[in-house]
Amino acid sequence: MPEHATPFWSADERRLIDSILDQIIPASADGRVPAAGSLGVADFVAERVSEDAGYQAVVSDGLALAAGLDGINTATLERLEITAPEFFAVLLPLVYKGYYSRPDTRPLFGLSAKPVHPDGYDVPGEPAELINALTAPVRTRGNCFRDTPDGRR
Amino acid sequence: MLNQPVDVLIIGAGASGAAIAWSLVDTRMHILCLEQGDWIFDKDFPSRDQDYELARYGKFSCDPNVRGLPQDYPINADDSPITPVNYNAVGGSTINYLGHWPRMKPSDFRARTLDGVAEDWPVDYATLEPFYEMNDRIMGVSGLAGNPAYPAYSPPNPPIPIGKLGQTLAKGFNTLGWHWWPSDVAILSRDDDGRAKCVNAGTCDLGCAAGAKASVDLTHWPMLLRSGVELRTGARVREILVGDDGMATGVLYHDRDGTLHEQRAEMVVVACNGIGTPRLLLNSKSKHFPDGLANSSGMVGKNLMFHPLSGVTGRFDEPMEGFKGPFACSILSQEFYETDPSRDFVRGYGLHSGRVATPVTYALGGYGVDNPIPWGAEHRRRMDDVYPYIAGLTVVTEDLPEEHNAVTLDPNLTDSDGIPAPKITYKVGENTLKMFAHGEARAAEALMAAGAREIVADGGGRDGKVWRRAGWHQMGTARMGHDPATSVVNGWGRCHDVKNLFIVDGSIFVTAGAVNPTSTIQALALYIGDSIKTNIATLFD
Ligand SMILES: Cc1cc2nc3c(=O)[nH]c(=O)nc-3n(C[C@H](O)[C@H](O)[C@H](O)COP(=O)(O)OP(=O)(O)OC[C@H]3O[C@@H](n4cnc5c(N)ncnc54)[C@H](O)[C@@H]3O)c2cc1C
Ligand code: SF4
Repeated sequence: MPEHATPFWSADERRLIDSILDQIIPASADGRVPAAGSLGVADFVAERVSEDAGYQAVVSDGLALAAGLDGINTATLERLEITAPEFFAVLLPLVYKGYYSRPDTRPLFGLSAKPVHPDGYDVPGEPAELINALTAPVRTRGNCFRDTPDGRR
Repeated sequence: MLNQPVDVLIIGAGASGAAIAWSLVDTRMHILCLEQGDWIFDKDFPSRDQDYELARYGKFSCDPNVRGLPQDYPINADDSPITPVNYNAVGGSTINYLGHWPRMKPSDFRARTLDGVAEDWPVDYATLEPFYEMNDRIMGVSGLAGNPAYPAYSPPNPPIPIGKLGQTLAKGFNTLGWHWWPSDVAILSRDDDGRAKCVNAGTCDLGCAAGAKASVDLTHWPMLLRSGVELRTGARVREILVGDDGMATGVLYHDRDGTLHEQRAEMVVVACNGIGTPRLLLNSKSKHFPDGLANSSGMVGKNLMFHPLSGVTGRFDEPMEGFKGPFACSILSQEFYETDPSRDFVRGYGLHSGRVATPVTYALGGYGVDNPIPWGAEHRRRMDDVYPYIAGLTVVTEDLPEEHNAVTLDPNLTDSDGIPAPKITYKVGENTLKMFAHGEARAAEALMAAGAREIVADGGGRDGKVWRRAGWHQMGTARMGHDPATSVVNGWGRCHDVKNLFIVDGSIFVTAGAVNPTSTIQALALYIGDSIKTNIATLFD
């Protein structure tokens, strides 16, 4: 876990937010997928929050409440979500965006680490025989659009 | 400032503006297009950036209220469950559209005669057919010939791969004996005309950096400029001017610095889309037209139609790799498209197999949806055990025209030039709600027949609710018709009230069909161009 302060969070606040983020996106049981706090997603959250005064107020109020909890775990955060829903409403989208838009997390879900252009993905075109076989039942049933009364299609 | 007069002034350089310019270019008339946006180049598309997906929630959002770029105008959609989305640039909304390219059907033009609802169009499928065909070639459409849901036609390029997702769902439809077909798309399946084929990147909504998707900044504007059409960017039209005789004389527009210019023209063509066009007409008040230009019928802004969507997601046993391939559609079922008197609704809907979201989009609730999935242990379960295995079907319904669904002018909100912004008042219709219920049940049936283990409620936006940012298709707000008392333009796009004013975008649709509209918008614009040329000697009579 990063042990540093961010531009507008103290080291204590940073530790607190990292532990909250670890609960929001926890690591997988086998450790293959890291938790959000340990990955440093708080840096992304800090950047976005610093750009928005409204976010800053909500997040700093939320952190103040979190600091008073009896530890950071699922049960305490579930209670906090009930008392401070706006904190979660701001935090969740930021954490999800920060976490899943990274080149190091994309491959964990099957996507390329690289930007999608120029390489894209290899999807082979279906051979004509396969498409013919798949569409055969549809063709066999015949036309399925209505003619108009004047017969003009 | 006053500029040299031109013969034809087109407002808007998107899908319809480019198509009408294409049609008129061989007349050798002096054609000028004014576009409020700018050129956008492939190097600026986010899909080449490391964090490319974040752009979807910021500067490349489909929602102009989120983007808030200088060329955008705000839209007040507080009184609508669906918010209009667009892009304002050379290319218009084809910059970020998804290129799904179904045509409307013969029955779509005859809803009143066949089903006793809405109105018949003054044109029909047979009239538009050659223009669909011509337009498919200009755009470079890919698809499979022989679709029994349409009169025979052949897309110019072979279909794009339907992929594992499409093949799986196709088998489900076959099991049930239902129609499906590989989707037509305005996306290249092979290199053509200097554009590269699709690389299956899946980010069509962020602009296609491969140039495979047919956006009109690539397919039309380079040729039009070479042929002498003038395109002035950063030019936002404030008002269409009329003379003492009630004919259009030109426009007032702001340049990038806000300076006001007058541009005179013999003929004005409006191509600002189903929201921008009624906004401009309503902003063009004069002593001849105190309620807005060409609005003696009172129909300008009325009958707004979207295609409300909902959807259903199934979880399969194998990964579906839904993030690979063009975003919009792999296959399309039109089994429930036509009216069936045994159902409790008229008209119908399509089942679209949109590709599935990437992890960011899925975690945030789906494309165009703000409804993040849960955090904690449930988050882990959904990302590991659900997300990779999902495939969905989107229920895309026909929206019937209803006068209370409308674009008006917001009394307070303006764009950066102080021009009043549009306000949307819209309610999803009863008929549509019945279609949702029917369509969601059928979609679930198809997914199970395709081998889904279960239907999941957390399907990346496909949770039975109307998608908010689904106002992609904007139609009906200046509709066509024979009767000047109930319509704004005649059967070839000329305003009943102002004989040198034409409208060529989705505003003139009489009904919406249940398919994406742009192939029809452009076919109609080409048809209007052709009619202008045919009637040139008596054009303003
Ligand atoms: C995210 C998204 C996905 C979509 N997917 C599909 C799809 O898969 N298939 C499909 O068929 N359709 C799709 N669409 C819809 C499609 O993009 C539109 O139907 C099509 O672009 C409409 O063409 P148009 O010419 O009417 O308007 P646009 O292409 O929107 O062009 C209008 C232009 O007019 C300009 N303009 C507006 N007002 C003024 C003014 N006052 N002065 C100067 N310029 C002005 C705008 O800047 C804009 O460039 C999608 C749209 C979006 C946003
Ligand atoms: S998936 Fe194909 S069409 Fe879409 S952006 Fe990528 S290359 Fe372009």
